Amino acid sequence: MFESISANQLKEIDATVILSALKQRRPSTRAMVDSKQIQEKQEIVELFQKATTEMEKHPDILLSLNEVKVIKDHDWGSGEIYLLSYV
Amino acid sequence: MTEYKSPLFQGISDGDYLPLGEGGILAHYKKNPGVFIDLHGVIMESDSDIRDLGKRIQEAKESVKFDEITQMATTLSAVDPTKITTIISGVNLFLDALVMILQKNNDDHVGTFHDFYLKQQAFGEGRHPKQGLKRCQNVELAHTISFAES
Repeated sequence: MFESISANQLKEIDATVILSALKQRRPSTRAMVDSKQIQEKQEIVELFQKATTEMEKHPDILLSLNEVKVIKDHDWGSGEIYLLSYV
Repeated sequence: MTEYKSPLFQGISDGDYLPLGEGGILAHYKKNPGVFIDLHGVIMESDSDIRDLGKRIQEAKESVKFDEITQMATTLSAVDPTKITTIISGVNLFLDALVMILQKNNDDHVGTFHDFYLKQQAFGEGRHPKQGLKRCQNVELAHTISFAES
């Protein structure tokens, strides 16, 4: 729900609500919030935005095939091999 | 869901490695995979006209309503074991259908491989297996999952 709220709107939200949401979202965020003992709403808003941005980051994945060794246990004929994969 | 079709490797004999070059070949680039990645593959020996492969793939997709499976995978935003199991089973069904159709078309099944990783498992970043090769029917293989800089 918080992703759709603008920074200005967040400023109007009670800091304890944001803090509570942050603590539920991610352990590392909880540690970050606890360690700094943030009191001011504006600081919490900035932290929330940073944490949200971090959470929205997803790595892009590369999949490579390193080695493929074919074992022929009978005579298949052509010896023409192809591979299909789905991710 | 992304599809990769390799080139046709010719003159492969018992115990040969496919000529993938040093470091292997890049098979997939998956942008923002969401909550999991699910990797399936088949290795076949072609005894038919490779130009018909696209038609066979489409036939298999239609037989298992593959579009619905990929749509479900696209919209999954949280770890939902039921939906994930449905997606994996759906792709397995598709590959079973595809292998059957290709075999009817005189191609031979060499091996099928499958791998699955959650986001919490860092999407399986690294080489699989860490050393050596893993056996999947009549093929031994290794693959690597890495993160792209974006």
